[in-house]
Amino acid sequence: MNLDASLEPRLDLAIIDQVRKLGAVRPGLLQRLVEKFDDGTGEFLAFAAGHAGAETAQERMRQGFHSLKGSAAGLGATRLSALAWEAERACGADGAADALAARIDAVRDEFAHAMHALRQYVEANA
Amino acid sequence: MAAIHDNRLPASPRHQRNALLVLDDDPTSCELIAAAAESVGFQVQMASDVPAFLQAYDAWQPSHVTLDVHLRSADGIQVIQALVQRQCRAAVTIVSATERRIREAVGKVAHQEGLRVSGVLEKPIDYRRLEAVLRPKAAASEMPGRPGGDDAYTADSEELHSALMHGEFLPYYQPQVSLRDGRLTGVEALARWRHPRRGILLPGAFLHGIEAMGVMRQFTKQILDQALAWLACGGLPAGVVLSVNISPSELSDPEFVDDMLLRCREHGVSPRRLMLEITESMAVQDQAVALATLTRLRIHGFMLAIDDIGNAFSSLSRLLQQPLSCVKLDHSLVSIVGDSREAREVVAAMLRLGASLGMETVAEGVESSAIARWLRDMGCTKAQGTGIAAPMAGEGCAQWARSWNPAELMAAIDAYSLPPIPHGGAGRA
Repeated sequence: MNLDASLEPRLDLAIIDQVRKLGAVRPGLLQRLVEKFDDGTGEFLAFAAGHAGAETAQERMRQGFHSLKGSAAGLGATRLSALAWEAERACGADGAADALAARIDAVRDEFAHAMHALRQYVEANA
Repeated sequence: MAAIHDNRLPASPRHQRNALLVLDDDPTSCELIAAAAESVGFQVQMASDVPAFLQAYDAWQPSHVTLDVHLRSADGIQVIQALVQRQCRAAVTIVSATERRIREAVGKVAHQEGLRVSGVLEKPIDYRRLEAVLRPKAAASEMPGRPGGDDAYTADSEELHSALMHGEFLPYYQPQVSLRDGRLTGVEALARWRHPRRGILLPGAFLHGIEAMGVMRQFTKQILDQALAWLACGGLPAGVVLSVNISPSELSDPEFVDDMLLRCREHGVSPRRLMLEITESMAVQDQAVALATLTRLRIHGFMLAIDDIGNAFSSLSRLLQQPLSCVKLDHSLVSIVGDSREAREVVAAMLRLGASLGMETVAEGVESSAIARWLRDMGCTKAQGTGIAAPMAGEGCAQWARSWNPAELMAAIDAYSLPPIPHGGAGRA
């Protein structure tokens, strides 16, 4: 594997390497997962950004951030996973609409960085 | 009658072998688990919601399932209850990114509901641990003396009658060693079935059927007589104790004590070389009759251990009333002290209780030198588990006992220690 060492803080290379190796039984696994992750997470974060203060959307957002916490961790995006966990906990908390909005922004920023790192990793290991 | 068993539930004969059904509403996690399972030879189906999962379960009858705890449509407990209603015999693994305490509690609920819980894993998944819970038999087959039979098989009554008639049940023996000096102090007899076509089978294949058929006395006689004969013929060094398990029905059998004494006389074995193990849950049943039986056994020199402490609800007051010599900590609790802070606290408390009552304490499920060291440091006196030796046939156990080097164990224990467990949180997240 040949990857910019500066990516490592954003991607846990031990985890993403394991995912890459699982491609031996499911060809194209990593690339497919990264694409799905990009589509699904992007869509969810767009929804979350538009509904940070909406009471009725809190449970959906909590579920979404919980799911993101797991999927990001599975792809080695550990910082993103940690931020998703903070956002999950902020969902539905009393008087926390502003705090949740800030968490969502942080997740979106980190998601962009994580996707950049994941794409670089996929290209480097194609 | 004495029964010799481990606590494995029988698997349904309808089950697909090496078949995993994954329930996870996160597509990334779902596919990662599937790929990891396929890499170790499993067929996999995936479900992203509970109705699809239950439909696939009913139609496919997988040998293994993995469950997420947080789902959009339901929670993990509801899924567990649905599996219990289906009398699920699949090996269940909890896989979740949720808080560790919740994850572990879900595993405990599943276990208490009677499901076969093979593991509780956090996300991101450690694939080696996932492989270990999916393929424990593959790992076990690498251990010397470990049986390699078909543990997904469940026999019918006709076959079990035939096995009893033909003397196909036999004891395997698992050593127990002192954590003070490493010396061999005992062995536990565990029942196995030498099946004419399927090889050596574990109790899950036959024990439930034996109990249901009401032939436990005959079964026990077959196992116990072989174990006593082996002991009488010098299978173990002098002073080493043989442990056997007693089934719940034994303690209310008025002939049990006399029957045990007769067997010991016939084989020329002193009752003082036998440790009879009763399960913790059993200790709260038929209190008056059981207490009389247990007391008679102690009067005649048999030692008594309460088995599987930590695997059921304890009644400490009743525990205090039993004339016990030893408490055995359950495998399910001991084996996770490396990962679970709660397990460490509970085990440490039980060890203190055992010591304060003046009892020996034996930890089952000791799978590593680091766990052995931690147990020793907490005051545990004896250890048993695959980290020391797997159950093995009599000849193999006798050979193992001759070659056992206590100093090597003590050196290994001194060389390793469990890492501290960080506080709280959802794993890496």
